[in-house]
Parts: sequence; structure tokens; C-alpha cells
Amino acid sequence: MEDSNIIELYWERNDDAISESAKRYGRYCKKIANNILHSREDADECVNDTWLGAWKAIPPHRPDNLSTFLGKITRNLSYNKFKSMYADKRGGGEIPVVLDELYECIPSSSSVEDEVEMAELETIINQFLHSLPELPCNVFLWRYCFVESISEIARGMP
Amino acid sequence: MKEEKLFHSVGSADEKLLAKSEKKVKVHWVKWCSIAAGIILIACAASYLLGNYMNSNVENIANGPLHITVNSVNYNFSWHSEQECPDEFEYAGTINSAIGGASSMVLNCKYYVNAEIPSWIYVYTNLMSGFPELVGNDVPDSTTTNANGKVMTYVRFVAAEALYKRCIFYNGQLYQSMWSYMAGKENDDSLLTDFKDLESRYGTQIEKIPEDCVLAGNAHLEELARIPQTELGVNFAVYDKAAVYADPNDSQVLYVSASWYTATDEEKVSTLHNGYDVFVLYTQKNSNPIA
Repeated sequence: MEDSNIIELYWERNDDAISESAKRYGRYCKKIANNILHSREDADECVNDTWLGAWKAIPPHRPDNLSTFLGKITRNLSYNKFKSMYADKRGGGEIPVVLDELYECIPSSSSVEDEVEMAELETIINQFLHSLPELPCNVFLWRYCFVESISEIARGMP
Repeated sequence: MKEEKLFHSVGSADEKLLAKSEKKVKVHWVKWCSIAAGIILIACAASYLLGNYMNSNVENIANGPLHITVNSVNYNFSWHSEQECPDEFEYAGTINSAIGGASSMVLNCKYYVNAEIPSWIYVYTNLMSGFPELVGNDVPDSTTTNANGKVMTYVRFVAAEALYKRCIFYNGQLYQSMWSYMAGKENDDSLLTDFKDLESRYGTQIEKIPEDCVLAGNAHLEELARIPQTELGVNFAVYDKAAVYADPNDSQVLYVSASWYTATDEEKVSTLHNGYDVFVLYTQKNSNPIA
């Protein structure tokens, strides 16, 4: 079923929206969740909550790109779960490494909380991404958005 | 933490860029899987495989997710499987009613029950063969494969209410989340009327609870896919350690802390909300939950 039809099911409050979303994007969302959580059960839980999150958000939202929309929900849920599980301790998997890599991107003397609002930070990141050629942009997103391991990124490169 | 802010910000990257990066990954995946699928089809005599595929999958996909019926109770496929039959589950017969995708892979399979956990049934089947990452990394020995070399495991099927109902046990009573109030009974008009009445009275998810509410404690995850039976036990991981508030003036309702995102057209970025999921008393009327 096409994305537009699935979105219509959500708008009609038709339960098939969930099963169709799961059929089309279940694996995709599970991959994102597993990249962050490295736990089958936790990843399954986050993916199930993704459908609930989508159900709550649509309507009124009407995403232009359903896979990206669902992926974002899964990513947020998975990261929140990761945080609640590990707090300040570092658990396994790619997320601690990814966070450490991002830590290096901010000068040690600056305080993001004091100087940069979230919206401005997103603007800056988007400007940066748009300035990149396609491949480096994709690599950046695979690593820091989808939390793919470096070996998987290398496998996926042309 | 600053790196967390950056991580969150990256997640809100331009959707067009995200869509383009997804497509590249999918193209590679599809390419290699197409080649592998083509080789398998040629090697395995396509007509026999297509016949099985048509009979077991296509005619059942329209019937929705896979579920079995035992003693008039529907049990849904839960994605959970074990290599060995779990303790205290005993052989009880063979499955003679299954509907949904891949139903032929559970029909006539042995099933196992445990009187202490009536909401679970394990079916001995090769259903999970298509998902080796879910079966486990151990190389199966000959006793766990069938004549066709498929991996046999004990797959858990769960009664719909235990699988989909979000519950909390408090003060000797069971409460269920408004979110899952209709789970398993979507066509019950009488229940729908009750749900709408409760929703207008309490809401489903709210940001502010009544002032008189008191903290009852913090929830703990008891076990997934089972109705909880210990004080402040919950059965959904999202509520583990969540603060629970009771209204001394109304024992019909509980409030469990929760957070959620919205991303409406008016919002520039997704917005995090902190509030409460509403739980209402699980009465005889809205069913006898299977523990």
C-alpha cells in the first residue's frame, strides 16, 4: 500500500493504518531502534510505541514523507528509552560512541544551553548538510541520525 | 548535555535530505536481496514454492495479523520465541484454527499451555525461520530443525488483551490505559459508548492532573504481555519507573506520568510534552482480563 493511502487510513481512524505501517516500515523502524538500543525486546517495544505515536499525531499532522516521519518517532522513543535505561552510564552499542563523536564537535569553552537555541542549532545543521555533496551528507545522516555502525555505512557506500 | 542537543537536532534535519539518504540504503538492500531471492527461486523449483506461497500467504494476508484460536480465545503472534519449551508449559494439542499471514505455518503444529499463565500459548513451529536474527545467534543442532532444514522454535502467542492492554495494578485493583481501552474489542459498540463517556470525563492523555492527586509511588515493569499482579506493576516498558498519581476523591482513575511528541503543521519542530496517561478501573463490564 502506498504512503498516501496509509496516511488516509490514519485520518479515517482506520485500525488498518497500524498494520499497514508495520508491514511497510516495521523492519525499517526496528533497524533504527535496534541501532540505538541493541536489545530486541526494547526495540520491539519502541516500534510498537511508534505506531501509537503516529496514531496520536495523524491527524492533525499529514506527513509529506511517512518513512521519515515514522523513523523520527522511533528514533526519539528509542533515544529516550536509552537515556532512561543508562542515565549517565554508557550502555553498549553505537549510541555512546556517536554521542562521544558529537561531543567533540562542540568547542569545550562554549555552552550550548547558554548560547544556542534548539531551533537555531537545527538551522545551522541544515545549512551545513545542504552545503555537503550528496555522499558525505548521506554518510553524516547514516551515522548521526540513523546511528549506523561504520562498517555498515562502508557496506552501503557505492 | 550538549552532545544530546546536537543528537536531537540532527534528528530534525531537512526531510528531503533524510528521504534521500534512506533511499540510498534501501536501494543497496533491495539489490542484494533481489539477487539472493532470484537464486533461491531457481534452485528450489519455483512452481512448488509459488504454490505454497499462494496458499499460505496471499489468501490470508487480507485477514490481518496472524492469530490462533484455542478454546474460543484468540491469541496473537507476539514475535517472541524460545529455543526450548519454557518451564511448566505442557503439551495440550495441535492448532486447528489460525487466521492471517503465514497461518499455514502454525496449523497442525503442537501447542503448549501453562495454567499459571493462561494468556500465553507456545506453538512449536518453523514460523521464525524467516527471521534468523529473532531466533538467536546459536547455530541450531539437528534436533531443532525440521525435515526441510527450517529452524523450529517455540513461538509465543498472546491473548489480545494481555498483548495490547496497557495495565497497572494498584491498591488491589487493575487499571487500564485509556489508550488501549478498546484493544481486542474494536467492534463493541457498548464498550465504545463507555470509552467516550470516560474520555469526556477524564481524557486520554493530559498535561495537568487534579490538584488533590497524591503520589502513589513509581511503577515497575512486571512482565511484558501479561496482566500485572503486583502493586504498581505495569506490563508496558514505557511506564517502567513512571510516577503514579491517585485521586483520593475518585478511585476510578489513576494518572501515570508520560511524555510524547507532537509535530503539527503549526510547529516548526517537533514538541516534547510532559504529562500523564489516564488509566481507568478495569471493570467486569470491559472484560475479564486473562492473567
